[in-house]
Amino acid sequence: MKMTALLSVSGLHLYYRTSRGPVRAVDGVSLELKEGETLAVVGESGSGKSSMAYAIIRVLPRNVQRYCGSVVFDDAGDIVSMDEESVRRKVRWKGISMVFQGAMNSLNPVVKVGEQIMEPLIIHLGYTKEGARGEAARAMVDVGLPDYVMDRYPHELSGGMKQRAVISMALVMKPKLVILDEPTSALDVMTQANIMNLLKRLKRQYGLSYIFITHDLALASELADIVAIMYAGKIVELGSAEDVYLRPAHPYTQKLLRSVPLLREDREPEFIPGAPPDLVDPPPGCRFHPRCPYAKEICRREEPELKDMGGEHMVACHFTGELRGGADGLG
Amino acid sequence: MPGFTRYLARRAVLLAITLILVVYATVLIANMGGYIDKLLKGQISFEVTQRLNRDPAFTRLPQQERQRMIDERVKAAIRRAGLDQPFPIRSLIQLKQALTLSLGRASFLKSSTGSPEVADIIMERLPRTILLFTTGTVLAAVAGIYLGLIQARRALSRFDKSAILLAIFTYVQPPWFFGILFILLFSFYLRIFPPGGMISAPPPATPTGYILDVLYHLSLPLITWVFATFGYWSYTTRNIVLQTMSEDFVTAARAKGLPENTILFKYVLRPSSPPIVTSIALALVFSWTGAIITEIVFNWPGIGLLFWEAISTLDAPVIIGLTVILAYLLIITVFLLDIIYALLDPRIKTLGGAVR
Amino acid sequence: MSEQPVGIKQIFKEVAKSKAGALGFALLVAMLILAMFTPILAPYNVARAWNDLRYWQDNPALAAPAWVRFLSPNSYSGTVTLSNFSLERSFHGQYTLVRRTGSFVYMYDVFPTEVRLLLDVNYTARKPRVIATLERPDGKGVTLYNGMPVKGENVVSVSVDPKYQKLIGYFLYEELGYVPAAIHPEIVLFAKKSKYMNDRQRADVLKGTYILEVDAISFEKNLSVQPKLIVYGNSYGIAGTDNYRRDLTVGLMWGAPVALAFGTIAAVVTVLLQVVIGAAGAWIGPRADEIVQRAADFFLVIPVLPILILINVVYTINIWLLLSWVILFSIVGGVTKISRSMVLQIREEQYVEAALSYGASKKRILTFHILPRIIPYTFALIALSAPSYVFLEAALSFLGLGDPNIPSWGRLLGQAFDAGALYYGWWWWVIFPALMIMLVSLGFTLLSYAFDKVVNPRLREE
Ligand SMILES: Nc1ncnc2c1ncn2[C@@H]1O[C@H](COP(=O)(O)OP(=O)(O)OP(=O)(O)O)[C@@H](O)[C@H]1O
Ligand SMILES: [Mg+2]
Repeated sequence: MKMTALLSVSGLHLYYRTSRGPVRAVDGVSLELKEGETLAVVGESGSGKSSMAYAIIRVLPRNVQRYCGSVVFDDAGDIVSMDEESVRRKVRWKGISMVFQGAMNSLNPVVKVGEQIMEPLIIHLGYTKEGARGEAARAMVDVGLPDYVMDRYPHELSGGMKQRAVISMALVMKPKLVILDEPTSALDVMTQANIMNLLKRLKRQYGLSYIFITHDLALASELADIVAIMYAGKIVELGSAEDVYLRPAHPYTQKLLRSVPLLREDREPEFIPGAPPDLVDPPPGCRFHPRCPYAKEICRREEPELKDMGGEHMVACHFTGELRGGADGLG
Repeated sequence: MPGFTRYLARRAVLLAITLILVVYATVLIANMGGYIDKLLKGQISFEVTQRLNRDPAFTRLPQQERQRMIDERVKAAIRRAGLDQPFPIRSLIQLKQALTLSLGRASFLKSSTGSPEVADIIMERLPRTILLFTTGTVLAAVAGIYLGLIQARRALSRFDKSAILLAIFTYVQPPWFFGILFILLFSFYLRIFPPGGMISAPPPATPTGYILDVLYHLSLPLITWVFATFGYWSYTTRNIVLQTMSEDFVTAARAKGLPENTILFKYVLRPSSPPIVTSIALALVFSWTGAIITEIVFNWPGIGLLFWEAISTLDAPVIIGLTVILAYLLIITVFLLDIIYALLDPRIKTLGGAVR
Repeated sequence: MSEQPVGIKQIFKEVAKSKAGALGFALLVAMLILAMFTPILAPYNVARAWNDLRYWQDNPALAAPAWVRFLSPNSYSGTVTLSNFSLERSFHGQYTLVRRTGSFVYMYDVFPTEVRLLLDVNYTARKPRVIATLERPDGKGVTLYNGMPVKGENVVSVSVDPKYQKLIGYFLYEELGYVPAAIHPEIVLFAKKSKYMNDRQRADVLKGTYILEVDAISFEKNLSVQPKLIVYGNSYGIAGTDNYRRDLTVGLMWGAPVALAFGTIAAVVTVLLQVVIGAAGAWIGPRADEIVQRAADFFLVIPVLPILILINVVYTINIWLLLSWVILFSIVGGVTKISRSMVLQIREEQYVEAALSYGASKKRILTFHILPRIIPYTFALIALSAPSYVFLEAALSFLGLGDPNIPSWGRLLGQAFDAGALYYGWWWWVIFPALMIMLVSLGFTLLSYAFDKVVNPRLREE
């Protein structure tokens, strides 16, 4: 592992404009990722995980209100401040590719699968059609797709096949970083396991870096080197997988770990009471305080900073030191 | 592919049944459930009696003899007119004739050359309707779709919102309604266009003059038609395109770093095109049917006005002839659309229409 | 999904909050109020009298609305009706003389459009002789009538009947020394003396007090005569009149309940039927679905307007029967396809599949998951299709085919069109009915736009 950062994000904001006011989907996120590492981003639905991914690769919906901070990728520079054309040419798919949430819908229904995989090669690297076809066929073999899929339309494939097709599309240019937004959530357990194994193998094979987005801690543990826990548009805990799983410091992380059902242990999974906050009008102070059993006066008033507890284990909680939970996470 | 063929075959059968039902319903209604037959029979017996009474030899015959002769002649005349069969059977005969496109003769109406053949009457009117409505539909579709695309790119801007309201407002009011207001405005007050008709009386002598005169008469109804229908195109185009733009595969295409133009044509317009193309094809066929009230308002002597004249005079052969031709047109188009749709949208072929 | 408001009340609230929705509501409520007040302001018997032309004879024909007098006072005049007369009865041997005298002031800048004298005469057996004389402000007297009227009401069309025009001709001969070929009594009577006193463009109006004297002489004692003089102007009422002197305000008012009732009932019934049938087909199973969809195809292909016109020509039908036909032709159609595809889509969604898998009954899923999702769309569809039914009624009435008993906006438009209002510029006869139709359809349209915005997140981002 090289020690230079492949991706370094700091103070990233992404707000959406809506009739009710701005939705603060990503609200000051900072993190770093080294080449070959896998970052798992874990959080409840609506916590802004996908939005963070969009902000990194800079594919934004029309109703963006605020998009700022910096996303420095490799030697391409800051994506946030770059002009659109340079992002398109230098970063997208060459440097960072992405597997979108709901892969079923990320394939154009009226264009053949093979063509969609080949497309970036032709556009970015000037491949001929035949050359691109060969390369695409290799990418498809990599993910275990039979070659007849090349000339099929998306609706003719099964869910698992589509998922593989989308992954092979993300890998065809051999980018350094692949963002995977819940790549397995719509699949059955067997297919899910297959895809996870596939991802692990590809990572080894090509030395890829992943940002793996999921709401499933158990799944994240299979792949993650570092883990970021997101809550209401912010990162509340960030650290090595070992630290986060074995020594969770934020009450939310602890709750999240306890809500995972474990086969080995004879313990009822816990629910986290309450609902995630409305991102238009988040609670003041610590955003988690309305659901936090340890909340004190200060939590209602002051927003905790993300503090390093040592060993690059960062936690945003006023009572970090005191609440460090025992090793009741996953082993 | 066999799935698709089977699907098409089934569609063909169903459409054929639809065609037969529509035409038969028209036969029944246009004949007022057989009442027209009675009227015609009465008319025949009246005419025959009159003719015989004018013959002095006939009046000298004894009463009984006369009656017998009248009955005989009337019966013959009715048979000659094909009215001797009971109406249910006659209606089936008419159905068969209609379906085989032997449209027969009109009861009252004639073409301007004096031909009573239904086919001649219709063929005389059809080009005029096509001139007005097909042109109008093409113009409205082109303008509307273009506007819709611009709106989709600038969705929810002030421009977009005003265009939506204008589109809905103009589309809700039927063309004839705007026609009335436009005649009052452009013809009575501004005196720019003639209030109606297709040609001045007497028509200009030179061919160029004739064409210019027709164009001059064409302008106001054409403007009206385009104004009243472009909103449908812009609004549907905008919504379909916007819907497609919000699909994940468009976001994915953007993330892939494809150039904007590729995204627009391959990822937005191509998936959006099947419903739009379908609408255009249907609208073009519908434009052949003219528009009854619009043609009345502008006194445009096309298919719609013919329909109205035929209905007002209860000219059953013309009514049936028009219906059957239009039904054929429509049904053939619907069938062709299934094929076009399948060519544009690969999902149809395998799923056999289930996607729509 | 989470953004979609649930519950009908909340939907209505959101719709009313939007500008379009509020305006649409306001327009329709205004129309509704008009429709509810119509039976009070213009009772049904007035509407019934629409086709009874005698009922309207006191109104001027083809008069513009009265308020245009304020906009251009020197080109419009009002109607002057003289019906208060003093009574003087005297006996001269065998004769009885009844003298009725009344006066009015004419102050308009333009000449009347028409003058009409009504004589309601009563006697036992012998016709009286009646002479009516108009004394002008300049002291000149003109004989309007000299004859033996029959018992009951006599209409003396001073301006149009040649018989009476001749009497005016005598007056003109005295004043000018010749009789023009065409005599315009309504001008001559009210013109200052000049050689142009028969010419509307060049004559000057003689303003002042006019006195009408009606003498009736009879051999009978039992004699009465009640005159009424109507000097018609060229403006009348809120909305003017048509060529049969009918007050268009009445027609416009009666159009409101007709349009609202027809549009709303047709839209509600057809949309509900189509939604329910489409949803039921998709819900019950592929077989039912297939039948419903083919039926919908069938109904989409039949030419509804021509068939409706045909039915109307063949059988004269009233508005309720027309409504039934319309509904019959729209049992299934476009909306069926929409609701069907919605049901199919919702059924595929995970939470419904989940509900099915944990054993929820079909009925429960229908009421808890499917209907709540479809109902908001139903509102939008109803509001969207109502204008088309308003216009359908208008179209048929325009052709003279609707219910002949009551006036409707389309009917007014049609009559205006047939009378040539577009070519003579009788704008009020065209603009007002058109405006009313437009306002109703605009109300529904705005509402449907607002509903669409609420139920369709696509338009809602901002
Ligand atoms: N285009 C948009 N306009 C307005 N709000 C949006 C938009 N996209 C997302 N949001 C809102 O932003 C918040 C974060 O959404 P995001 O999709 O990033 O969450 P997520 O963590 O990926 O959730 P999930 O696990 O369900 O995918 C949510 O409250 C969502 O409703
Ligand atoms: Mg997400």
